[in-house]
Amino acid sequence: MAAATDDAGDSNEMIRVVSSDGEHFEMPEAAANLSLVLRHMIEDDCADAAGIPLAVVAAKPLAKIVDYCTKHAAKSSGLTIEEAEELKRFDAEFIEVDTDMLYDLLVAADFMGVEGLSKLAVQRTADLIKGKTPEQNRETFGIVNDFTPEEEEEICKENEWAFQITKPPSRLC
Amino acid sequence: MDMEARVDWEALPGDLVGSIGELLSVSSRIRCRAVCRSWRAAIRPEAAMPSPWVVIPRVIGCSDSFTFLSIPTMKSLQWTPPGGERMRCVGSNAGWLAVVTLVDLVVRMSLVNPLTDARIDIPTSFCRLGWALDPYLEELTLDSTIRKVAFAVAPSPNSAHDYTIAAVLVGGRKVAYGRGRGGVSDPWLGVAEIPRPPGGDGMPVQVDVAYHDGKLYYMEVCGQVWVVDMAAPSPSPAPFANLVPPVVPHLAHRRRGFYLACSDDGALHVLWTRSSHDGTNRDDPDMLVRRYDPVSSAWEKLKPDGLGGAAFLIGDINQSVSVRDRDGVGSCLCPDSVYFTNTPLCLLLDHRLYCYRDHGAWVFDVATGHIDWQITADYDHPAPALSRPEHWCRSLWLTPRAQ
Repeated sequence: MAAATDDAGDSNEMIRVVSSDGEHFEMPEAAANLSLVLRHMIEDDCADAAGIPLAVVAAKPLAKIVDYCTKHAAKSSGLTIEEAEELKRFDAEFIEVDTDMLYDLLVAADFMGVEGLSKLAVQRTADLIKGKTPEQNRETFGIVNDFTPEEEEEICKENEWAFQITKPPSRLC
Repeated sequence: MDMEARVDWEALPGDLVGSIGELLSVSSRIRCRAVCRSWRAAIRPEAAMPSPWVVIPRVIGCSDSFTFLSIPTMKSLQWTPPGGERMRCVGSNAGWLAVVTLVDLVVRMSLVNPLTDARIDIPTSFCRLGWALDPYLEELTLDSTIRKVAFAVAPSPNSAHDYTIAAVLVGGRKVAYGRGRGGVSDPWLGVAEIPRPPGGDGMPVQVDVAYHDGKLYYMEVCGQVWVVDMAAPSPSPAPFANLVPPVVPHLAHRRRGFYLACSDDGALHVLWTRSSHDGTNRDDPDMLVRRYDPVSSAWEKLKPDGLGGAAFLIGDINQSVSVRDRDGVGSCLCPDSVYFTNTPLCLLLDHRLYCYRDHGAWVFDVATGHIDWQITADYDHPAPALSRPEHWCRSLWLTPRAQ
């Protein structure tokens, strides 16, 4: 089934999915197969004209995921170096999203079992977190500090060196 | 229409937060656990690892894995260089490690901060190995190529860190120095030849290097100390001071070790060790420290307060580190003491039997002259079963910093 893209007939088969807020989307079967959940539904003949309902994925992230899967399914096997690089560029642009969308993609890709997208979103989140102080990360992700000042002090003390990143650089001739 | 903040990152499922945490460097992961309770619960904890640490490679030669052992808590964490790269540590300073790698048998040098994954590649053309070596020969070959590196890195907002570096090369017969500014590397500005000591056959060529506040120091076995002002347009070595080594006639043929260390007020210290360790002759201690007084241009004996409340950390390879209470290490280290990691001291003191004990560190009390096993490590990485002291991994001190 993974090699379905090689067969022009198969890739024309369209799978319909319905977002939690009732919007309908279509994608080639090969694209849907990139989602573990959709693949199982298709294998179990649950993919009918009414569409597969995805109760926890809203239309906005679902549109992105359909995009992602369609792009990747079209280029799944036997990539040339140029195609692989193009796909990398696509991924890099694809994941340039705000933190709200990133959150939705993280959760939806995880729920739908789209491994490549899951990795991409996890990596993007890690890149956003890297090198920041806890406070900067709270700002980035809109998180409220729910530690007591005492707890916070305790936490920082455990590995003080990790929190000393705003110190001015030492003089170097 | 989004009427309120739609997403709640605190509520991101724990397994997702956990897998994000796995992609972070150690220091980012520790900071990430301080963001909120749910993230703290989801991200794998690191043990409390206060400074200072000892870095112990898994194997001799280039190693693909290192144990970082926190001396105050005796907790450890494993560090695997990114991409499975094999490295040999040749120096450490302020959270950074100087490492030697073999790329297609070509010896390369980099400065890395293992806690942030920051990295500076130093352009080098030291040597190329003819063929792949077994670990023991690799260790010996690399040791004679680049024995030790003293350096400093100044973090900058962009990725181009500035650095100053001095490397002991060719088995201690040369000291090369260089620098990098604003992403432009200038290694190596000069190479100083270290003459053979006049003491005869028993005296090996030895040199130690240290960096402090823009200046590089190196000392020959005859006691001559040179300084290179790395801020000068074209830095070159100038004579700095001379400390005649303590002479013990009947031991003159034995090995003698010395270490340069700068306290944080900039005073240069030299610590001598000698090869015998009977400890009976009080006039001839096994170790002694001299402090250079730039005003009187003399090497003075230490005052009763010894190192002025500081402690020196001397590793097998890295430049000696001066630490004191305010660095957060006061609770575990005694002031006015010198701490060693064990291997070279065993070799230098010719007490090879002692090397068979667990990995640990020596401590030398400057005031009393007492040498003791203050610290023994009980960490979760099994010590390699090796029959010869030369096979012991050389360890370094590291004072972790996340910049």
